[in-house]
Amino acid sequence: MDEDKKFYLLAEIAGWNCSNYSEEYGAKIQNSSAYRTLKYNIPEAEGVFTQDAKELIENYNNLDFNPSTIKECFLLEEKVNYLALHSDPRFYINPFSIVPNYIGSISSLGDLALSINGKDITINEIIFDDSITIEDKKKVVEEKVDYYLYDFEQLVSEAIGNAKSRTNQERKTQNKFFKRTILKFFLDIFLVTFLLFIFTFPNNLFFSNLYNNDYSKILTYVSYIYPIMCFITLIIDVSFYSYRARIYEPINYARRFLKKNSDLLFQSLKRQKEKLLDYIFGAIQTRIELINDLSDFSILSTSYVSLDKIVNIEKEVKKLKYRRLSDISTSLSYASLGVLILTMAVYFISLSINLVI
Amino acid sequence: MKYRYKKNSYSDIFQLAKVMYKDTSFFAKELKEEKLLSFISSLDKHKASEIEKISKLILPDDVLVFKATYILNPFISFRFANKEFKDYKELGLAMLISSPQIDNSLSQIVSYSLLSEHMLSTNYNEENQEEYERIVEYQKEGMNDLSYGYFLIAYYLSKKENIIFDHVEYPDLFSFVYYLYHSKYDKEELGQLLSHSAMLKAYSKFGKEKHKVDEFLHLNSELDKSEQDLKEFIKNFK
Amino acid sequence: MSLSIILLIIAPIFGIPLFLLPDNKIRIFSFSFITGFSLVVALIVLDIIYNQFAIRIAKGIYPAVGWFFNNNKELSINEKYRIIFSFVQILAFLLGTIISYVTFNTIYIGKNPSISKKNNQVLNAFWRVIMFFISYLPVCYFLICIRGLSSLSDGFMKPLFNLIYYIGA
Repeated sequence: MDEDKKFYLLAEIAGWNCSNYSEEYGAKIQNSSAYRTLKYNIPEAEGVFTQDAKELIENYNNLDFNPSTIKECFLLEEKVNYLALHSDPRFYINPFSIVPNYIGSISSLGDLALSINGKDITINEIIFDDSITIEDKKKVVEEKVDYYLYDFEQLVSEAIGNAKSRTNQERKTQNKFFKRTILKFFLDIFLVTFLLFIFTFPNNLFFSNLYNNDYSKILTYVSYIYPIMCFITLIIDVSFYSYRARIYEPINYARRFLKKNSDLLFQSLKRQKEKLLDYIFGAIQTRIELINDLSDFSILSTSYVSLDKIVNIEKEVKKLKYRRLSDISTSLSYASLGVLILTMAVYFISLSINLVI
Repeated sequence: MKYRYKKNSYSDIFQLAKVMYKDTSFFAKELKEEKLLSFISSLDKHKASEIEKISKLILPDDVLVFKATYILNPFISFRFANKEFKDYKELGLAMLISSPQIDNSLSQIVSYSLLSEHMLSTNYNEENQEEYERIVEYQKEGMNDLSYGYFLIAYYLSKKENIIFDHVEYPDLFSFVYYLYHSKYDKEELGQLLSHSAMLKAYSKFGKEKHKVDEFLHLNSELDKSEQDLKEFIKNFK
Repeated sequence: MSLSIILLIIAPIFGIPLFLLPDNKIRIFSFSFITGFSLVVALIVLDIIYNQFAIRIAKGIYPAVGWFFNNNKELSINEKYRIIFSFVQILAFLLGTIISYVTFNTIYIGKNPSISKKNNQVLNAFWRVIMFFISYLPVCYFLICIRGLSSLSDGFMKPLFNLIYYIGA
């Protein structure tokens, strides 16, 4: 922060308008080494499934480089410094939720950072720090591992859309999709039923027109378009919902599994926590440096639930292929509804006035 | 037995104590000499022995004389380094007038906890327990940060609620900033000075616009801390 | 256009899910279709065991749906009853499937889709084939049974249709 800005901050707080001094500061912060460090570290954080990484990315995306007051400049710069510091993987990686093939700037549990007496220090440094008693070392490591477990449990709950943690917005979106699915199902049933009806109901007008192919009549067109439309709609709907079921199966399976067996999963998490603690405490007692063991305790993919697949669902759903199919399915539903209404109108009007239209 | 100092002759220690503060460099030497000590001893052996003890300590002249003064005459008003204050408020004002700098001479009151010593000596603490405890607390602050302790005591004693800067008292922050903006001071220098100012820090406890100043100091300290943390991390891990 | 060609055209609607649905879903659908399929088979068996079972059911329903056949002079009354019974069968199939689906979707957990793929490929293929036939065949059976209502020709699978359900000349 430029020293003169500190004076202008006092002036602003005192009641003076100093916004002209803040105008170009946003660009200055964007060129600062702190921001460059942050920007450099963000891509690595995007592949990590922890609350800390998620918050980091959210905060990074929400940075607003157009401060309108000096106070906002201060807050922005402080935020950038804080994020730059915490964008290092040491601060956000959770050994329980690390992907098994993780390649990043740290490779060992010993590189993970904890806070002791207000200072950030790595686990390897704690192991060899003689100024801290073994009990204190174990205490601080245990607190951190408890936090890792809590963070992982939050990830599980969020990933499977735990009803308690789901926001109102998420529930609304989910309900909207469910209602749409039900409506589509009934539409498809109605399309097929009406198709059966028009081709089985003894309506001489309809059948004679069908065989005569009088192209001056709307009925001729709808009697060909309607079945084709039905067929295409059913094919697309069946394809889309089958494809969607495939994408969502990890999460649906996880939800079904956890409804009855959440104890099993959380017990296995606790066992993993004990294993990790034993491992680190052993290193503390014997003063052995931890190396190349970062993903040894990952439980992202267990025999029970595969969270790595679950957290990737959002990416799948955003892909072009999914979105295109979804849009086509929706558009076809509207089109087929239109064709259905038109066909019904033409058919029943012809039937009632005994004249082909 | 009498003691001669300049053109005056003193036959009791109480009267002598009243003038010692005016010439501390002279009396600091005298207190270690036989002449004055035997005079005091002839009148009060216990006090002489006390003075002998403190004269063996390595203390600045002003402090030694102050301590000796209140051993000889515990109940007189606050007198230090050629200055007499009729009450603590006057002392506070005197401390504040040098703002934003501290008065080096008066700062010794904080660093040697002389104010609480005076309160004990005069039994002021018995009827003003809370005030005494506050002074002790602020003196303790002064052990960590002398300037901050100094201004805490200055504001507390003087009961001032305004900013005093360069011998001028400002009714509010707005006019204070206006003055600074038009002053000879460089804005960068001012920024540096104000963001770490012990005077402003103390003002944020007592001043009438303390919340505004507190906000200013808080924003600065948080930013400094974030910069420091980042620098340290890069130094240690990169 | 004949019924044979239509039956072939609608096959992909039942075939596409075989390739897209995950294994757990295939199982759930299979169990659901089995219920519906069993209901259809049960009705057929009942009709075989109890003479005129189908006719009696259809007679009971005829007053409500008889208007549908008012202009149809080609079908005999028994044929009309048969057609009504076919509708009962397809309705039983649909309802049985839907109710079972809702139940199995709630109670069936399945296996972790990420790790069980390689283990049971033969079994999974078996269930996919089963699912295809027990969903496709009842629909074909229904269309074959009601073909008398439409003026579509039977096509090249006529002998098979007549074997399943013969319609008089």
